Amino acid sequence: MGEKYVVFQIGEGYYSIPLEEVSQITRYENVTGVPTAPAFVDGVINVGGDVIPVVNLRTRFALERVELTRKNRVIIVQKQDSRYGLLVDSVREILDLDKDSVAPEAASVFGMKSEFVRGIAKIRDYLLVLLDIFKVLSTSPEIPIKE
Amino acid sequence: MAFRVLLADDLYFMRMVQKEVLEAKGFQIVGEASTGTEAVDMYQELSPDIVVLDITMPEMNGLEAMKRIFAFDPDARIIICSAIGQQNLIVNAINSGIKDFIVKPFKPERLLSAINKALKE
Amino acid sequence: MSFAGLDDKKLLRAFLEEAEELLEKLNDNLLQLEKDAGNPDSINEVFRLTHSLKSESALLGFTRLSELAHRLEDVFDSIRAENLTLSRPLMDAIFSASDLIHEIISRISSGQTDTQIDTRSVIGELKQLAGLGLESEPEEPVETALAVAAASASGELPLKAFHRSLISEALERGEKIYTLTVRVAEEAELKYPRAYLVFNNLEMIANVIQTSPNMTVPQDDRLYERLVLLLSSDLPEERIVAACDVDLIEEPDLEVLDQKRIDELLSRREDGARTVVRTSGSARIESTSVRVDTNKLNEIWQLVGELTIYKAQLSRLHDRLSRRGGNESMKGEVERASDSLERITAEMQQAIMGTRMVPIAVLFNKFPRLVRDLSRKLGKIVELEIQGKDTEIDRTIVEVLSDPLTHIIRNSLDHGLEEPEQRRKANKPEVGRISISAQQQGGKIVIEVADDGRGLDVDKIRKKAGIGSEITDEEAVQYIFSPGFSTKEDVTDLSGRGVGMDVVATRIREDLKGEVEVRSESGSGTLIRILLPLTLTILHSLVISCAGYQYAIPVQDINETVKVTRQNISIQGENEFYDYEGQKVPLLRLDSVLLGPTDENSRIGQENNGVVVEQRRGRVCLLVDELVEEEDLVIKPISELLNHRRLFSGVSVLGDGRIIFVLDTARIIEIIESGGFDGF
Repeated sequence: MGEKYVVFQIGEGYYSIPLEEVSQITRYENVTGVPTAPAFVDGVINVGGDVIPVVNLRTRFALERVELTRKNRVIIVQKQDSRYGLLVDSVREILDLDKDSVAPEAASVFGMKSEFVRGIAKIRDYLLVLLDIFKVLSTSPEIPIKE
Repeated sequence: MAFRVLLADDLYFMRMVQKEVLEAKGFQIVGEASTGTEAVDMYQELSPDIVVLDITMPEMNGLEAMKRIFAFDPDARIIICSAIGQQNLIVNAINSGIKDFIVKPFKPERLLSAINKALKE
Repeated sequence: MSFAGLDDKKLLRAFLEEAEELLEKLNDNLLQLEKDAGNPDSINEVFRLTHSLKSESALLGFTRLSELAHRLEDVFDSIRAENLTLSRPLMDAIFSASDLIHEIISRISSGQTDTQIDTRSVIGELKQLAGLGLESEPEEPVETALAVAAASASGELPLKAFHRSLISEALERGEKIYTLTVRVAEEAELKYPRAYLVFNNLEMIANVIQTSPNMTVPQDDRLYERLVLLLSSDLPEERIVAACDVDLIEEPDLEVLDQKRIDELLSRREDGARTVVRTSGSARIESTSVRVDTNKLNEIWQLVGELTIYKAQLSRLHDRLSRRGGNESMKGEVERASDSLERITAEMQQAIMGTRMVPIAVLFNKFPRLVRDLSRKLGKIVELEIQGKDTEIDRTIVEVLSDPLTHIIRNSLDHGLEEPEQRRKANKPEVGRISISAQQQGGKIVIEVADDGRGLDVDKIRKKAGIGSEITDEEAVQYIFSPGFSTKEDVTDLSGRGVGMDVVATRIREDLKGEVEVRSESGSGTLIRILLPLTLTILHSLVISCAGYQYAIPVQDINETVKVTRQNISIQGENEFYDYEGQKVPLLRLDSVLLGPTDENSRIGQENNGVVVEQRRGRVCLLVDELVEEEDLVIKPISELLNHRRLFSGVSVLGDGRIIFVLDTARIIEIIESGGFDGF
């Protein structure tokens, strides 16, 4: 019996965060621009009266911007009272991960710095990076997430 | 076409009884959850027509699960099972949108009439 | 024992298996409790096990067994709630009960039922030792209440002026007035929640003006066997009756009121205390009436009315679409309807928020009396000063703030202020002073309680908290807020049992997400300052546009809106100033503040819009594009990710979906004062 994870794709890489950190997954629509926000914040969305910033993970991971498709999703994560939206290329699946299939030592997979990675798992045909998303969100914008 | 039901109760026995009662009347039990977390996951995966949700479960309790299910699907049909003395919880749940509540210990007929009424809309 | 045509044998087997397991765990835990009577885990576990056993056996019709398990459950519930301790005799009785359960189960598994076992003596013993069975049922008062309720339907509904105006307004809108009588089936165990299901359904489609018994403050459950509602609606009667179609609710009685009856209701004079008699077991009654501006209510009822129209529209369209697979124009209609629905819901939220705001006077008003009573009791002479009682805050904050604030004041009276004799000796006026103030400041609500008493004993605090000399006095006194700081000995009878400043701080931090700090001067007095976030506060604001986006400026910060032209500005070095009332006020182009200086920053044309804002530190004139409108905005906290330069004090979502950031003018002025925005 493992934990459930939401698996999503950004560029060539597959990443995941625990389902319990996720409060909602929605489409990328009705985003209001915020010109005063950092470059990787695409804007804000209104979810149930709350104003939630949408973080463009591609930008945060220093990947080039691409056109939006119908597959894009905004994953809304929550920690205590704070909520953030994560713009990802697509959400792939919700996976049950056994503790045994996760390797804690994170070699620099996809060039991610180890402090942002909780572990690596080998899933059927791809390698999955378990992200510490709140570490990513709380790290100062000047510091790159990848090597 | 049979209505699809998701059962959530941490007691195996309770689920078994509910399952027997409902299947005998033509309902299809598409899933059985024993914790709140399972209930929420299963709701997401299976999209049942109605959920019978016990309030007191380990890990995540029924009310927390109810809130999360409504967050995903505001039109979810939920019937909660409660004990006597949980008036306030029930009223809160009604405000959140449950269709009905059943008080334990309950008679099978009660379960059936509650579900049938709830599915009428 | 038949069971709606189910496979009895299979059920029985499953039941017995689970029961055996439960019993084993029960025994283990009971043995644990023998050795360690206070073990909370075992107590909870036994409670849970007996609860499960009770439910399962009841399901199969083993009523004796269920009753026995129920009694045990009650015993452990009392132990859990610390109303009962495990004595030796009680423990013995519990073991007897457990043995009896064991016997019943083995009899059941050998094909017998549970009716042959005499459980009465064991149950009797438990009741006696545990003091159970003491539920006195005062039949009388309830009977009288029901008799009162049996009087003519609308006659018994307590109507105040407020309700009468709701009736008038409904009539103006062309709605009909009804009385609806709903009965809950006798066999329903919880009548209030059952009635609530109907009440909830009705509230969604009609305007419920009044009910009897009261639905928001629950009375004795039995009284809800019969619920009478006064409501208005323009929907066909079938819809109203359909809303009552809930399980265990009998066919309702719907009556339209004719003009004569309505006139009767409207001409009735203010109703006295026609409340239902309360029985001893009633729920905690809170008085939660709030005086609400009828204009705001009007707004809400109108919006609710519109809402139901769009909802109906939407469901009709949805049906059509799903049946026919829909075409583009239909999809467009659905989208528009649901957009309208969203907009109206948001507007409703704002309107409802408006009715939830109360002046903090609601809270402060009980303090003069409190201070008078307590000071008399303590033999001290005290004067209370209150400021800012018109400051508006959300009702729910008031409820949570009440206790901590009361406690702080009691503390001042008890420990802070000295007796007249001592004050004289210290060359202070005999009359001690306590002042309470509330105001909105820099995006927060600030509440201060100050006294001119003896101040905190810093040395005592240092000693108790074990702080060394590297911590200053100012920091040391904050330790009174650390969890666990106060002990039972500190707390006198008057300050309340076991509630110290640490508990107050926890309440403020956790329940209200606020902060609390203290300032004290030995011999002069103590000041407690509470800061509460502006989460549910409404700010009257000016919405302006700047570089294509809209922002809000709190009206309370604004001196005036002006027209800035080339004629009334002057330049000194790098900086521009606006000539305002004979003085030079720094001129700031808002777009350069927010987005950085560029060539595209607004040029001073013939006329530009300027907003002169003022805070304690100074004034500034902000150059903006347009003055859009004045609005009452519900301000919410803003994520740090969006506010790294801290230029905003909050964000607001308007009814039409616009997301507007609120400028923190104090911060902007602070930046100017300390050298400007070049570091941008």
